[in-house]
Amino acid sequence: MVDMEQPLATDTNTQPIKNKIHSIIAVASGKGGVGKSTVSVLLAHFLKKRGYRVGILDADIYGPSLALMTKASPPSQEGNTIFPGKSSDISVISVGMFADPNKAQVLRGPMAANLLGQLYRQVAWGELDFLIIDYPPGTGDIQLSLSQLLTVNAALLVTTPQDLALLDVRKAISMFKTLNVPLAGIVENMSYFTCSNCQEKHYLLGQGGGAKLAKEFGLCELGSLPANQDLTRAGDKGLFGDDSYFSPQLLEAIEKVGVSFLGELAKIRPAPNLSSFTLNWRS
Amino acid sequence: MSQESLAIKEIWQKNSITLGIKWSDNQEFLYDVRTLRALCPCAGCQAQRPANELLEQVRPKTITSVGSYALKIDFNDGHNTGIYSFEFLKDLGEQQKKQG
Repeated sequence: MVDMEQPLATDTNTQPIKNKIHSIIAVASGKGGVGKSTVSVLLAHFLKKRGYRVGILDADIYGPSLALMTKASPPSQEGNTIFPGKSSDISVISVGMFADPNKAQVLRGPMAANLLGQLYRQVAWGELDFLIIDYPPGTGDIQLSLSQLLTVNAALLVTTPQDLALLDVRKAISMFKTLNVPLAGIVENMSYFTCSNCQEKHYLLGQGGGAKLAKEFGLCELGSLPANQDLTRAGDKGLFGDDSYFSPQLLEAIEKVGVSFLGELAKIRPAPNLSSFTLNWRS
Repeated sequence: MSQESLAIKEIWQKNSITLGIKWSDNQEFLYDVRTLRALCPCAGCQAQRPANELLEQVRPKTITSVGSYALKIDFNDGHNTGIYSFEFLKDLGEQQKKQG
């Protein structure tokens, strides 16, 4: 048979809206309640302060937090295009912006995946240096759909120190490895509580879980964040944009996570591979 | 941290029934598209394999990347639910090479 060499498939931008997103970062855990959303918002503000253009997509359909945590302006819509809400110049989209906060989203997997697809594709993100995807807990339907929908450049994992949390985070690491998503490292959250009277650090949830996990998988421990009333209040009141609410020690801990993250991200070489393509077969 | 995950460097249509893939480790494999249809990893095909006589005429319409880990092939017999992971395709290529 004569070979009919056809041209190579080329990278295509399949999004109907002309967005230009340079890096998609997953903030994930596997475990619920470890502070994925807190880390997402802190990272977004860190990157913003460094001059990057940042957006956050709250991928937690069933328990969206980012509308409350960012107090972003409401999104607007023109035809099928959604313009994201804004909080300190960070673009934010969350199901929580569209739904009654007291009403549950009772949806099966495929419907939830469709909804997420809309939130990604129909949103006019514009040009972003970073789109942070705040993942829901678990390693199931939604996480798989997200990994099919997007080409995630790197995942940052959040854990709390106790073994019980590590159990779930290991599964998330395994999932990202299966899906060929590079891992940027691990943030240990709620690592310690500093007593305001004696200034001593108390390790309420045990010690060294993040480091243990990082060692086990050869990943970087990006840093640890304390259990802290100011962080809790910032989350409840949407105050993350204002550094004056945080102590110098807390700001230092956040800065360390951000700087280590950027360092690790730089090490993930963009390989000369096709990332997103369609090959049309000629009969 | 250096991570070498499996990826596609180049993908092309060699002829009407052959797909070529150059992998990130520079190995190159050719795939008969009818074999890919026969080995469709979707749940439906796992339960019931397509009949052999139907496969002779089957061709892809489009082949699209899925995230960073797989391909989705839309076949002209209307079947499009198979997600072919890079790992699956690479293993298949290596197996075929061994068998000559």
